[in-house]
Amino acid sequence: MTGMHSISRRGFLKGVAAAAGAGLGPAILTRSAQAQTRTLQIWHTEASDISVKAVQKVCDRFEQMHPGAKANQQGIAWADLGPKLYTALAAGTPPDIAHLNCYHFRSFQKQGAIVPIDDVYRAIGLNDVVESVRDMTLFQGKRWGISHHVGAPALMIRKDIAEQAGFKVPDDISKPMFPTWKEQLEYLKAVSKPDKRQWGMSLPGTGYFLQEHLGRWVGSNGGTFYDEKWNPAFHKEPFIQTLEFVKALSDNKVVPPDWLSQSWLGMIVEFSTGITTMIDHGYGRIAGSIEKYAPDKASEEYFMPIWRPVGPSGKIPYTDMDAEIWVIFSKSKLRDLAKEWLKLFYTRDMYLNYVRQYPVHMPPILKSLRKDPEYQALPELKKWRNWVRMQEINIDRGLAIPVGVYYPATNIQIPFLAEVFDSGIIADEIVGFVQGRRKGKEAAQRITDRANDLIKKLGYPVPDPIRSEKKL
Amino acid sequence: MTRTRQAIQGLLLFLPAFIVIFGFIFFPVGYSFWLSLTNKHAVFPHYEYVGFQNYAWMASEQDYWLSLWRGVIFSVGSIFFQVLLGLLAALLLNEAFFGRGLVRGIALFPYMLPTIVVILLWKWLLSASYGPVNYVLQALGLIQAPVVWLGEELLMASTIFVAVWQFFPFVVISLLARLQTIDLQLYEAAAIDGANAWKRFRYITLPALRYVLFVVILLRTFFMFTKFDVPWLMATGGGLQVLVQNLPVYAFRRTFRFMQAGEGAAVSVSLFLLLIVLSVVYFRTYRREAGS
Repeated sequence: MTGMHSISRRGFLKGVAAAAGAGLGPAILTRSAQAQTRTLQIWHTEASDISVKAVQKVCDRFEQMHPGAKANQQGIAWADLGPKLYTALAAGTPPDIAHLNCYHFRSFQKQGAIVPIDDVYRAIGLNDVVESVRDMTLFQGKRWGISHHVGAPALMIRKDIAEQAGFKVPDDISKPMFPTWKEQLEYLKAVSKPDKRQWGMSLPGTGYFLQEHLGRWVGSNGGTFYDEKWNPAFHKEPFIQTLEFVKALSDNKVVPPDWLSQSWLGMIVEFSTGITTMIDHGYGRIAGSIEKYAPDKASEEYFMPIWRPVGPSGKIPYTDMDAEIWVIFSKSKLRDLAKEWLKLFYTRDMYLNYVRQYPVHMPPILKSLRKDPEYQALPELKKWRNWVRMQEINIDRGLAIPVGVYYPATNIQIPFLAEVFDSGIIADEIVGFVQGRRKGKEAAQRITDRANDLIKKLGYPVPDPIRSEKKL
Repeated sequence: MTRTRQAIQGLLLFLPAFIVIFGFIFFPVGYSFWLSLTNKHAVFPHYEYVGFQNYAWMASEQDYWLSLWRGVIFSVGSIFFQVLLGLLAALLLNEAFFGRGLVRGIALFPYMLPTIVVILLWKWLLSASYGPVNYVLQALGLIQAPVVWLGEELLMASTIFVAVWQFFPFVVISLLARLQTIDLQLYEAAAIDGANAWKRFRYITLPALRYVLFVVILLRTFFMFTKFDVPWLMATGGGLQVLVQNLPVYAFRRTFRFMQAGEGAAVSVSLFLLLIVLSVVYFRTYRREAGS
């Protein structure tokens, strides 16, 4: 070859080895440095900028208090946490601390994936924690997770539209506007005007949220997802009646025609902008959306919580408890440090700074903070007074049950809740019924059968999977 | 240099390629197959060997066959329209006209967008409650009530439409590149011989494009049969998911929703085998055609 620099094979191989060394060297050094500095990995679902800043404040303070320790946080979109966490767990590399949905806790506990955190509770004061979340993860005498806040979604109504249609929205939020679903449906028919693009109510098509709606309605209809022996109870009358209610909403065209494809955010936009007049998904975070999409109407003059009606077989209106938990993973090599981070998170100033980012959405779990004058003076709590009050009533009266657990709250101890709920079986069959592909009873029976099939595959005896725990 | 030494050096040089091919192709495929023979939970480490039980389950599962069928509808429908639209657009963009460069750039635009952006955009445009498409159609008096583009009846058609919109530029790029290399003298000679536009297309353009079309259709078949994001995001993993659920979505659901990694792997392996069979049949058919 003329004009070209020749290279020997040995030289070439040396070059390749040097390049590989140069590439891998920094990575090896970084890993070694990370090991020496003891880095906590924290994943959470409060991914908005302001919440990330609040969590960062805890991390910064933590690093000051623990020289040589670092705390890396990652705010992950709520829907992305599950897949990311599952992948990390499957690879054997979970973070040290992460948020979990309440209904996930027993699956993780049963598999030995998380550790008890009683000393965190002791450090922050067990009796200072709101009762509804204090004992939520109590199992075998130990507590396995701690909620980062405790909220409850409310049934919300567009007060101005209701009054224009001749309906009175009660000022007392604990007085029902509609005693039962029947009256609610009549109201929705009265305010629905599809030709003017106005529908009575928003419903989500997203599987998770659809199941969430169904769960709280089944509870408000005297039903449950599981009986006392942990057998699926989807085929029972209260569940079937609830399915029929969903179908009635769809058939009577009181929900937007493409509701089965509607996302969480789309539903909130519909409600905020007056396309729909009611939403049974009044998580406090929506207050922010209303302020964004309908700033001129962002007050309780327009958006009011109302008491939830019950179904034909129900007496008590239930709602969900929104209270994701912090857990520490058993694979963590920094468990003690992780506990210290959690203790710091709940110290008064840090925790106040965290909950004040979304005060309507994030009622604190500490009784002392609830009474704190600085917390009570937050303007959002005054602006959306009834919204906050409705959450307090539901939580304090035990009417809020953790998402996915439906009902009673003790069902949180069922170790396969996560798998059945996340499978989407329930949503699949709701849709099959709403679209007329199956009868209500058939759809309900199919949910029970498919759930039983999955429970069996997970290694629990069917019927009565509770037998798997009898030795405990 | 001794023969042994030469052999060792040869092996050393071969090693990086072997590691890459084994590590990134054979190992994942082999591991998938191994997983499909277990009852592995998607998250937790415990599992048992169950033989071909997952395949027996799969064969008896109605949802599997429905997912396969819907995958076929989605893939065939979207490939057909991608190729048709891509061909028409490529022919148009091959002609000389003012602003051709700009139009070529714009035509490629959908392919450059991330899928999530495309889906969010179209779901917003097509929404029955607040979508501009219905608004415009209503304002023009073309419809009385909003068309439910994302409802039961039209969701598959809308999903195919969105996939065609996003991916037809791939066909345009590929065909345009070939069109630009066809000797113009062939057209001139054909025109002198009295061939009309259709005949010139039929006897000059189309034969020139056949090799590119073969590759394009093969690639699009792989891409569309294994497409996860478009059908998943169009139904948001929600109520109507089942109506646009293809095998990749079904495998994902079995793995990360039902937590049955073994079953999910069995579904994936079946898709892999199916695509291999399809490719072999396609190649053989093509070779026979080319030979004749």
